[in-house]
Amino acid sequence: MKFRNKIVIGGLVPLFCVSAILFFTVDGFLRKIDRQAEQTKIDEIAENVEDEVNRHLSIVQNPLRETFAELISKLYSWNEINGFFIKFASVYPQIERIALVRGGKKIVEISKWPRGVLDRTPVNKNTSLSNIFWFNKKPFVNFEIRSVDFVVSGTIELASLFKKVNSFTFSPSGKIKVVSSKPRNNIRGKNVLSFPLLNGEWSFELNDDFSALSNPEKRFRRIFLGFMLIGFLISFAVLKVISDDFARKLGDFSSGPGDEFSAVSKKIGELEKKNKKLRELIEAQDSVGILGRNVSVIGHELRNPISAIKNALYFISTQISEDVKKSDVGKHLRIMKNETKMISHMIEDILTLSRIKPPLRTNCDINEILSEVVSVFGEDETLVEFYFEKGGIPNIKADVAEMRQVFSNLIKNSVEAITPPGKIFIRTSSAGKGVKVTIKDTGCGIPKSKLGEIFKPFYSTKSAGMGFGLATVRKIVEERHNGKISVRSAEGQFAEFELFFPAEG
Amino acid sequence: MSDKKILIVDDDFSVRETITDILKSQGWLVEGVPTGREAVEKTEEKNFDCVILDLRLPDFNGFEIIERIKNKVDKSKIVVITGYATDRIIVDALSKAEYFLLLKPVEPKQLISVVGKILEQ
Repeated sequence: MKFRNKIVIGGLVPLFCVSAILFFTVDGFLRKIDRQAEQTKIDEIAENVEDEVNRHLSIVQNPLRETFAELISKLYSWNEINGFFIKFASVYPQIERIALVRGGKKIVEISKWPRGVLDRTPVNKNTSLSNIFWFNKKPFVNFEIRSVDFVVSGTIELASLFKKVNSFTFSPSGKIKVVSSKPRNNIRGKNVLSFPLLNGEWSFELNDDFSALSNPEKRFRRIFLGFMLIGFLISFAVLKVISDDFARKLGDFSSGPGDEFSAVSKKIGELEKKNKKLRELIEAQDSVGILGRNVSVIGHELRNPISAIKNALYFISTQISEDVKKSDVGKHLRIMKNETKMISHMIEDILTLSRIKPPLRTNCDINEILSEVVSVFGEDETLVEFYFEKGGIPNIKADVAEMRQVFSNLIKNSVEAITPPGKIFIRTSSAGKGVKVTIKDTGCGIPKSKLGEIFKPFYSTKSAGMGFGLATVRKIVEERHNGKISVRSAEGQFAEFELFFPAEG
Repeated sequence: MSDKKILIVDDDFSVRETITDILKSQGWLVEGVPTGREAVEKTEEKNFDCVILDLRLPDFNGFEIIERIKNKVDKSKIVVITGYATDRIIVDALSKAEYFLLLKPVEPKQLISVVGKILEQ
């Protein structure tokens, strides 16, 4: 799978887990609170129901039962009895029928039903309790209050007891199941409360369900889901941005089949192979010296003709008179000599810069080499004074020709920087485990901004020349002899080069 | 004049000619040969007080020539001229400091001074 997709998933999964944990914790907590509230409500309802039942059936329970019997025993005239019954019946509307029998004769009866109807209603012994009966799909109960000389009998309706009830069910065990008015959804819990009624023959079962979610809980769920959705969208957007940025930074590696990193490591593998091949190629060239040899061969070949020209010029100069030397002929000879020198220097520089083989180290006396170089320059540059302070220095392991080239190039630069008259100071000294050489001229100096540039190839302030001089010097000193070269200068005043060569090379 | 004899061995005509003339103008007798074989022959014929030898010759390299003529010409009388200072083996052998070594292109004055030193021995 693409790594950038892993980023997105990797960001969303923890978010999801945290959300889930949060949700279930809070939801569970709310649910518990809910249940407790439900329980409290049920307890209330149960109490209410009990009270109501008791009230409803108070006529058949003491103390009202006794009081009632006592009251009736004091009533004698028919009018009194009738009035009492009517009043009583209106106070207790649940009484459907009430009758007084004295000495075997029914004296008075008040009934909401036609005469004798309730008396005659059959009682189904299988489905009803001892004195509950159903008539017209409604429950009733008969009662009797006996006294010495009379019996009061009656019927109490039960339907109004259960105002909150949707339906009744009878259970064979003798319990009436009362189902609350709450909508029937997802019946989960049952809170059963049974309490005795009329000497334990009846009981009510309050069956409440906790199917519906409470409002607070619903609200919580809605809000939580809302926030979670927003959170997910924001997270997704952020992760997508990160993943796209990631894909963009990887550029080509992110497209194509497979995981981005396999593309990267494949590319690295390819590059390593190429690198190895290049290295082999360079080494092959190095051992054969193809490129180097071409330049090298040309360079060496050029030394002979230059040598011959030099020699010829010298010879001519020994054969001509002073007058000729001062004339135009002499001028042209000098021109030829200088140009030949320049060619020679250029060749040396090219050969050095293209050199692949290591320097040839022999014991070198720097003082001796410097002396030779200085004497060569000294003769030609009569307007420049050379001051050479020879310090006590050890021999060093170095390539003689290259040392000569270094000093030649530096002194040549110094000479060219000087508008005569001028001075060049050369000093050698022992320094640590090596030799220090300083070459200072009173020439035009080097501007500060250029101090870092001067050692680069092709840097030149002259109209002629390729600018290899100092690049060659640095290559020889630092790369080929493990030495150091540094420069100090004040524009218009001086330039000083300081070189260090370790004795062991 | 002097009767000092100098032999110059170099396959390049111009170099040989110019060096010959330069040294002659100092009053010395100079002969020049282009190959190693001829060099050996010459040293057998005559005694030379100084031999100037290019290392890169068409038949032998200078080192071999030195070995071949060592009976006739002492090593201290030999000036080796070479443009191939980077040839490790050769210069290593020479760094035993028995010969004079000059690098091409040779400074004429330097050559004269070295030859002068040899002839004074």
